[in-house]
Amino acid sequence: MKEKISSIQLAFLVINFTIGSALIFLPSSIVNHSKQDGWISAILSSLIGAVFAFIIVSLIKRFPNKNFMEILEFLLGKWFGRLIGLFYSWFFIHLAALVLRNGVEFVKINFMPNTPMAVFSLAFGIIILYTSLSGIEVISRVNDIILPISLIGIWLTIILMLPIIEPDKISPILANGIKPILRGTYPALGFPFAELVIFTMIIPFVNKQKNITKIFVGSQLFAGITLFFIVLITIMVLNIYPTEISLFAPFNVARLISIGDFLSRLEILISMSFIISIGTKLTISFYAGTLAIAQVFQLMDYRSIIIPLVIITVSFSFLLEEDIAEVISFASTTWTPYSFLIGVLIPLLLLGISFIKNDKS
Amino acid sequence: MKFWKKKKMMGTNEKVPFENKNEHLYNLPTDINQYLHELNKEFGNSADIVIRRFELGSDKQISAALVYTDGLANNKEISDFFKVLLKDFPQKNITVSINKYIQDHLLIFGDVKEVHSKTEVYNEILRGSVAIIIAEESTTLIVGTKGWESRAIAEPENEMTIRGPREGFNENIRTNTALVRRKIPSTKLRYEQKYIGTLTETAVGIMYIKGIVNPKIVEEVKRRLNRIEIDSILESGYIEELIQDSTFSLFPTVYNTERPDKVASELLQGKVAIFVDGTPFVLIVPVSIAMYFQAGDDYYLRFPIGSFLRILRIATFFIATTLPSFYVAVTTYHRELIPTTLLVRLAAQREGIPFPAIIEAFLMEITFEILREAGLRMPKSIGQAVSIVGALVLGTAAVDAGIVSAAMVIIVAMTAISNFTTPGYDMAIASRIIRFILLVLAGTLGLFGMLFGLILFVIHLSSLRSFGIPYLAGIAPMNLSDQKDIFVRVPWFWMKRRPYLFSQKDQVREESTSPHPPKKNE
Repeated sequence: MKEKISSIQLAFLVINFTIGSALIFLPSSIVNHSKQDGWISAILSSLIGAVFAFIIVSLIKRFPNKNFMEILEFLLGKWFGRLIGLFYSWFFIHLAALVLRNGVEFVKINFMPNTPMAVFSLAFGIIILYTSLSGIEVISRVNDIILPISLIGIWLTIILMLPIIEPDKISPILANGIKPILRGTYPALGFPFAELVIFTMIIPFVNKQKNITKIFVGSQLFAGITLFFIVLITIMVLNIYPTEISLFAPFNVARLISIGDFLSRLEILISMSFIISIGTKLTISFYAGTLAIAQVFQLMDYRSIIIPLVIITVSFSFLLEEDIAEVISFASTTWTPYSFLIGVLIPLLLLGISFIKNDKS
Repeated sequence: MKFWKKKKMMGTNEKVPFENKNEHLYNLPTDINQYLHELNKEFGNSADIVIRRFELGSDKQISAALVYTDGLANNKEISDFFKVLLKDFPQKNITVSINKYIQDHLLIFGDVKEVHSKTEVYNEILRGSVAIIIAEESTTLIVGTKGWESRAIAEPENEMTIRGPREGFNENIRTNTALVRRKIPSTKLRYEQKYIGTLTETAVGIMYIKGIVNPKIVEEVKRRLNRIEIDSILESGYIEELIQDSTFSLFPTVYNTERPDKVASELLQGKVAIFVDGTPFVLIVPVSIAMYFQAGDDYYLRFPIGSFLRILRIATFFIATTLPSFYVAVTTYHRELIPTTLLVRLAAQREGIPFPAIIEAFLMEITFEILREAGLRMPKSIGQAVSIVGALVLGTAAVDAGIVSAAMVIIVAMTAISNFTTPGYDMAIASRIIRFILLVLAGTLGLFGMLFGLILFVIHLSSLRSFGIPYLAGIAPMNLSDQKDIFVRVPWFWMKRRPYLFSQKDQVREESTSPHPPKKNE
């Protein structure tokens, strides 16, 4: 049986995936470069991200009955296509390992600094094992429940911050010209927007492909707007320098929540919604990775490779980076060209080839 | 429809028969002496099997016999039809067979039929019918005279409602089907029955409303029931466990109820009810998790009240599941969440307590579970003792002795009370077990552990299916129209459609508009 998800479920997945781990890292990495104009960078990057999303969805829509690996083979030839497919599989698993590390660092530093990282890695590992064994239908159903919770967490933070924001923190606008803004946009493009290429594996599951472009780009924009608000609020609440230096800026924002003087320091509760967002992104990346590998090697059932892949991913999450500083610097420097190549350039190239091939035939 | 694709591959398209095998054998001896000899041998001269020989006709030329089970057959009815049989039996030769004649001319009322096979005769006798055996006839007449003592129709004690019908099912399957039939006197209400269990031969029936139910669900139910090969069915729990989707799950995927109105309402939403003889519990499939939070009151009381009560019930379900673990996590790992004055209070209370919060919670929770089980099993006359012990042990003594803190007693009491609000007992009991799992996770990993546990349960719930329908139907996959009857219950005139996934055949429930006073021009 081929599993099917609805287009609304796809939208939910896109929103949670885009917000995912970007939520906690994006403000710092943007504000690092564009200072008080970070919010412009945020909105600019989500607009450009919409173009990325459009490229990806157009590519998939051109081949309605093929999965992504078949498209690669069809456009690039059998062996080269598979090689690129393998490259993509690596990218997805790599992304999963990085997101896993992000989540683990977030939990470890904020919840339980004395507990070994392996405990949290194992917990996340069990979750991706369970979800990917259950398949995309279950993942999207879980996400249907999780997304409202994490959105409530995020928007509650934004709304509860309204009494203490200082709007003049974002002025002067464009003080140093356009250049810092573009510089700040750059890391945001690679992380999270170019990562949307992962949905090349998910879109073929959608049962009604009719409005898919609108839904895919629209949900990406919604997530972009949420991220924009997060960046804006972070700048207005924390000011520029604290945002730059904090590891998890929105977490520090949530720390300031205080309801009627007796409910304060609710950041742990709010950050639970952040964690489930990260968990969803992790699950989608990992699921896409296993599926990609199964399709490259034309396995009958992707489930047979899940357990080894979980072990590999969890180990990678330890091996790839030394500490939280490296996690952050990797995400904002090295990651961008890497995910740009895979998430934008190759799909664009494929789209071009598909047009040429179409003209020939 | 998409959820049925997997099943389709297994060959669903032919109609699944729902009847017993070997009903069409012809193996009855025509010699009455041999017949009765065989009967005697088969029943092993059991004392409660009555075999009476008599002669029919005025010149007593036809030898006949009467067989029934004492206690199961109604003596009054037997003597009534016997009178008719002996008085009106004709003098002259009969052109048709005697059995046919009796059926068409003498016993023209009641449940009379001819059967051809031994097993059928035995089964009918053991279910309270009377068998009339007439010499030289190849068939046996069965007269339905079932009439044994059964419990009166009473209000079910486990499913209380403030407003709504006061009748509940009893142990007689015919009474039970009649109770539902009386609520839905429609030709579309279909009932099919077969006997399951090689020794108990228990009557098992399925009921559905043709046109509303998804026929594939009916076929699937029949297929699963046909697959059962067991010696005995003593309660519908047997059937439930043999047909449910996931055995190794805490969550029930088959609903059971004692209320005819509940069964009727579910049938009208496109579900299938399974009746089992000998138990007041009727099964309903397929289920979704929302069903376990819907009580009859929600629909009979006015909608704001119904909605409020349902939200309350869902909230208390979460309290019952997570409150102790949340308390343990917060007091052990995340004390910053507690307002300062309260924290000081809690700290003062916990000062002399020798155990960490997790042990304390376990002690109290297990004590409560024991009390609860004891209260259930204990004879009613000494039930008072349990409540006294409970109040003293759970209440003052434990706190005074410095074993547990007063706050923990409040938490456990709150949890215990909350647990009773869930209308579905199966779901309530699941939450009791989940509570302990979460407690361990919260005690070891704090709120992160709780979150981990809850997410695992959400994944598990999402992966469950009941007869092809996702367990979280309406919530995930999200369906906007179904939201009218999940967390809240909107007025009837807004609920124009039946639940999306269950009744895909006939979606429209009603077309009434909102009530309003007559307008001027009406």
